[in-house]
Amino acid sequence: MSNGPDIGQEEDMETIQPIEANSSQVEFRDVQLVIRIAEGDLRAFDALYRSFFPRLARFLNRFTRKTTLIEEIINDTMFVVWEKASTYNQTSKVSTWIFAIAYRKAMKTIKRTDEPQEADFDLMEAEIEMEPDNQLSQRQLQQSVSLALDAISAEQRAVVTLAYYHGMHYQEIAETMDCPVNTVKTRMFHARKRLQNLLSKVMESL
Amino acid sequence: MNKKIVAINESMHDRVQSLLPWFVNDTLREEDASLVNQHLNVCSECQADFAWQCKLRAIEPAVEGAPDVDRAFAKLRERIDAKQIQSKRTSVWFNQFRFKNSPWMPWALASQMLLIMGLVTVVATPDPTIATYRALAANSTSNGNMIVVFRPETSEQQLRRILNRANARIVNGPTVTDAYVLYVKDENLDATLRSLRADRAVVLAETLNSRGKLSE
Repeated sequence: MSNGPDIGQEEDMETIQPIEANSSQVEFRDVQLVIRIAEGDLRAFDALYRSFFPRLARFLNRFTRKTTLIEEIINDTMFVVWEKASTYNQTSKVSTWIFAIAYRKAMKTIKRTDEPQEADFDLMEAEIEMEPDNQLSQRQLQQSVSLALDAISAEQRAVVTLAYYHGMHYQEIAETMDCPVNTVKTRMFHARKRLQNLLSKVMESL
Repeated sequence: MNKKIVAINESMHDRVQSLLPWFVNDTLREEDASLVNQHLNVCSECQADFAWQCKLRAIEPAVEGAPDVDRAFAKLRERIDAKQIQSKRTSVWFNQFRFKNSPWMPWALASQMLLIMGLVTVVATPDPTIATYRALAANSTSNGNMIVVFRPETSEQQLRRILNRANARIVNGPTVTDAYVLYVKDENLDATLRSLRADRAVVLAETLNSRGKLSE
């Protein structure tokens, strides 16, 4: 816990330690943290920040490889959470609310910094060194999938990442990306077709 | 019979295709999950697609670079602290404004307020020594003591010339009968009356009494 002014009420830290729990327990815990953050409780903010940091880093890493930029977007996102916690009305999950802020911040930052939106898969894949027996290691598979994801549009990439790697329901993804559910499904459909095409050789080796 | 079943399955196939990613991540509602499950039992294409998506899901790309939670949080804390200091400064300013540490401040402010109110009163009150401009008319509060009617063809320029020469000011008019009520100093009243009556542009010139009626 960092030192700083106005830490807020004395807190039993056990209540805000990460817990192994089912999704409804996690959601309940997150809501409680946001309520306390709205009252200016920095310990609760610390707990929520550390809980979301790895998830947001994984998500944002699909849009930029720059570590400093990822940290900047996470901090911009969590600063909004700190400032606007009192406006959180519990109509959506805390994670959906935070990811929606992160998605908006990421799109804005990436446009501002002229980060490349899509990569050339064939060009990049050629750089992946094959194992002597022509088998792909887990790391190489991850690299190929990463390159394939880079080759699809940022919107399609966001849908695929949120669905496969963050376990979001299509309704939550629609709220995160501020678009209709049908748009989410359409983006997912086209993304899958493109990924199946790009990763056909890689997937055959499995 | 088979054709009919295939048609129904095609429609179901599209629906299941759109739901399949969320069947893979296990977030579908029970009825949708049940529908997908039933279709998977009979559709080899969706079975293959399901298997492919499960594989893809299992190969989540690793995070490249090393975002550091402590370093990042320390930066954010600086930002939050800076904001809090700024808020406190603003708060201190408001506290000073609320005279917490300056008991003389309310009296000073009250005096200042009284001074401002006094100045506003002075500025807002019209100065009786400053004549208010009125086009071809005198202060309406003055009482007229003469009435004059000009010929209809008299120009405005002629009218002004006549009134200036007679040293008279318009108090009211033109009335519905095209008459003007004038004010002339008492000592000039007779001379002005003669002057006006001598002018060809004047149809009528009469003095008025203090009640505004024609003098006997």
